[in-house]
Amino acid sequence: MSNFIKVPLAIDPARSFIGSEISVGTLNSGYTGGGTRVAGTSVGSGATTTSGNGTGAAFGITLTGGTFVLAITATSAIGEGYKVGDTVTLAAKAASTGVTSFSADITFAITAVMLAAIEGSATNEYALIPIDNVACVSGVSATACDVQVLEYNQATSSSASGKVTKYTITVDNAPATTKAALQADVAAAIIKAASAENAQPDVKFTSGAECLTVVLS
Amino acid sequence: MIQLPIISSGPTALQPRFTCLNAEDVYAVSKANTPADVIHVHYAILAVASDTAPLYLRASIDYTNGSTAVVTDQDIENLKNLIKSANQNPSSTPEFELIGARDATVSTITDYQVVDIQIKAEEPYSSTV
Repeated sequence: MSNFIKVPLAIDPARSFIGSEISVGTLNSGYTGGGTRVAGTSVGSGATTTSGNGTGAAFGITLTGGTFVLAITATSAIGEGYKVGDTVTLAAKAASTGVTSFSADITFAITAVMLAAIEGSATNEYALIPIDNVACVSGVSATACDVQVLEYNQATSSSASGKVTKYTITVDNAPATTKAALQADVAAAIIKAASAENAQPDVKFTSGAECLTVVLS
Repeated sequence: MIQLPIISSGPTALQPRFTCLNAEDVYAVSKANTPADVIHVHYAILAVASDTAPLYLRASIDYTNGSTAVVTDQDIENLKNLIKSANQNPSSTPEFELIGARDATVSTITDYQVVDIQIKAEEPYSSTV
């Protein structure tokens, strides 16, 4: 008989953009507006506006090809508080030789692939972590902690220098928590499960942190 | 399962929260040579019944917050005894505290709290020198 902890997964939480390039699409099939568009190298968006509550995202914007495919990259400002379905408006950019420009604002709707990955859904509310072989809980950062397991990851190595199996729990950066608090929250559930057979307690994030993913590696 | 106080985890330094460490399958506890304030807990595990050789893993408990050494040989003995005790009472979750924490002040108590804990694979541990 195994005992588990249940990690509640946030369902469509407000969150950040991913930090890699996002292909938005073409005019009326991904974005609207833009007026006179000129393809070119990346131009900075500056501050953006949104129909929702998100703040802080800024992008490098590129229009390419004859169909002016729009790509955006939030390299240094991924923002926070964005939700699927919100719209984002990029202010018009004046023409400049060799650089992407558009004479009118561009608006696009946020899709799930643009935002930080999540596992939670209406039909997937919890991740289960078996605790029988848990070795310890170690902090990684204010948005991640590892539940390390007394097993090698045989997929990567079976040698003495092999990689140890772990579950990495990732939470959103808002509401903010700390590395130590996140570590203690997860450890508290494991300690409770270890002291009460079949208790299967939930992880209680004390700061209201929202769990995005639980990944076994 | 053993509980260990984590630095900067509670509302004050005197009210730490805890991480956990498995007390099963432990065959040795030792003090690292460098850095000195790290305790190693050594595990040997047969992952499945057909395994002919165990997996050797090591948990490193890091107490390197302060500038002076805090882990003593007596701490190693105390942790061994706590691991034995935890295995005699399978649902127990006792707390392990370094012996020096008893005399620590508000300003030095964090030196006796865990900075980090990590598991690594290792070659079988031997205490012979």
